[in-house]
Amino acid sequence: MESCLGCASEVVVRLFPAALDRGPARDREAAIAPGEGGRCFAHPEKAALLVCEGCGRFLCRDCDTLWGSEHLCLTCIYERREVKQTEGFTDRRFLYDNAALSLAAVPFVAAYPFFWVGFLTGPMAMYYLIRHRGDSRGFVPRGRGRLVLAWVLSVTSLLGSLALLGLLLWAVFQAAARGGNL
Amino acid sequence: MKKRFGDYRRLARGSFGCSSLWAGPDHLVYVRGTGFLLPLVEEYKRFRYEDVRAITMTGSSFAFWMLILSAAAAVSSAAGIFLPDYEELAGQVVVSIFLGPILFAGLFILVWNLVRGSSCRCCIETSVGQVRIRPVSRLRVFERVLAELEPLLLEHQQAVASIQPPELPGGQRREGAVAGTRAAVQGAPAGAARVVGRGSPFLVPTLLAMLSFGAAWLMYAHRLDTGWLIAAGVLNLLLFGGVVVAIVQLLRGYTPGVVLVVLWTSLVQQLVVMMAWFALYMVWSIKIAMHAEGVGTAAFNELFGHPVVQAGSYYFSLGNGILSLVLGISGLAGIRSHFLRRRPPAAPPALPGSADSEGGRSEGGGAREAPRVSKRR
Repeated sequence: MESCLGCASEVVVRLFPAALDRGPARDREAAIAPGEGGRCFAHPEKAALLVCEGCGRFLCRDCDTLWGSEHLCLTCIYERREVKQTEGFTDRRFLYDNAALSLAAVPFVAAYPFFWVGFLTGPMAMYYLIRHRGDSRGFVPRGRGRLVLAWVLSVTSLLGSLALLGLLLWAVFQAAARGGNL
Repeated sequence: MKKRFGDYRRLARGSFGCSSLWAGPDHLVYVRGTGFLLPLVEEYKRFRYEDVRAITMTGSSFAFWMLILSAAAAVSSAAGIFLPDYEELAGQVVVSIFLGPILFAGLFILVWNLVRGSSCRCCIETSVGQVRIRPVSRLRVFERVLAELEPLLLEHQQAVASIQPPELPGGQRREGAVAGTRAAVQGAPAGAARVVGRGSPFLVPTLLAMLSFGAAWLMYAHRLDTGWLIAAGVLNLLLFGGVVVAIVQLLRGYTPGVVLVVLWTSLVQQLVVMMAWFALYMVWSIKIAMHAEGVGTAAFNELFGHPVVQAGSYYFSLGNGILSLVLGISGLAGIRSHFLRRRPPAAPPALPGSADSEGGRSEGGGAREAPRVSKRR
């Protein structure tokens, strides 16, 4: 372990052989190569060197994208990532179960003075839970614990806020009836 | 969180499972969660084993400051509970209900931090950029991850392993690197070397806010209402500024681990307080009912010695105080990350006499994001 000369922090740098490979990307030959005379689908002026393993288009070196062990064109990657949302191709995902749980927990985090917001956040959490009940819950598969907790908290916060509002209204009416303060 | 599923094996995980690092059959997956309280969006970055050029670790002072913060929270809470001479037991019970969770959370974080050891920052470098791996935030975790990754990476980079580095006369390479770094540091404009110094600017104000919170409790317990008013004013100012900055930070979609810890502590504290409050109220009501002296508001007032409205404002002040701390820390962390992001990237020192000084990092050394796909050129 060395120390940085600028800030004196401890520094560890582990270099791997790829660090020495400063040229173009490694030449990975495709399993299938079109015969001579094949032209790239997007660049007819260039010779095709590979075949897209998703749609079969001829690709030049510029159009080829190596994803894992597959050679794909950008259209196929877009389709798998954005349209089909294929596992292993997505680069981001909205987690509806966590969103529902966060919404349901808001009244408890916001504390007693703002507990009434459960009147709004409870139904919103329920909407997420019902509308997206079958959606994927992230890269790492997980159980239904968060969904159950979100249901419990959203129902509790909704009922609690309704009870609180009812109690408040009752107190106001009582005070008005007595003609005094709370 | 699972340790293994399908072809993937977990190497490291961050606080509350927000982010994690997974080893797949031929690539690494870095899962980065962003959101509030819980990760609402997950982003995935994949690194092929063949593309990883280096793994770096830099020591950080996060653990040290975390230690001070948690100790300050625990000490101030304990002082609020045990130091004042309460006239009635009920007063101490109420204070314990509020400060007890903070005390236990502070102690828990203190011990947890000590057990986890020194903190660090880990980065994975590919040909087009460098990505910080947030789950690897402790030296011990870094060593374990490196030990697991090293054989995998070397195995997948056998094809390029035959390339030999340019031969330099004995010691010249290291001497050259040290000289280049020293020249870069000395030749940099004033302040550039200090930018990466230890410590974080947001932590001192946060620490002061927490200490003032504890001091305010002590003053309040000794009926020094003026001190409490001053502290409440300061905390409310913090609350206002914190709300503004926290909203900006939320829009940027990143919540630091420290803020998550404080937020969850706040959540637990609120739940405990609510349940304890309700239980006390019910017990007292039943007791009064058994003595046929009336149930409800009168019992509530008798327990806390305040009318309902005053008791409500009392709780409101406490809620505001805790929220102000939470949001203040969140906001200050946001300011910090804002300034850190505006820092100009440091130029890598040249290695005299090596090929690096000629070709440099022409493949996109300035890029900050890792490629999501391996693009063939």
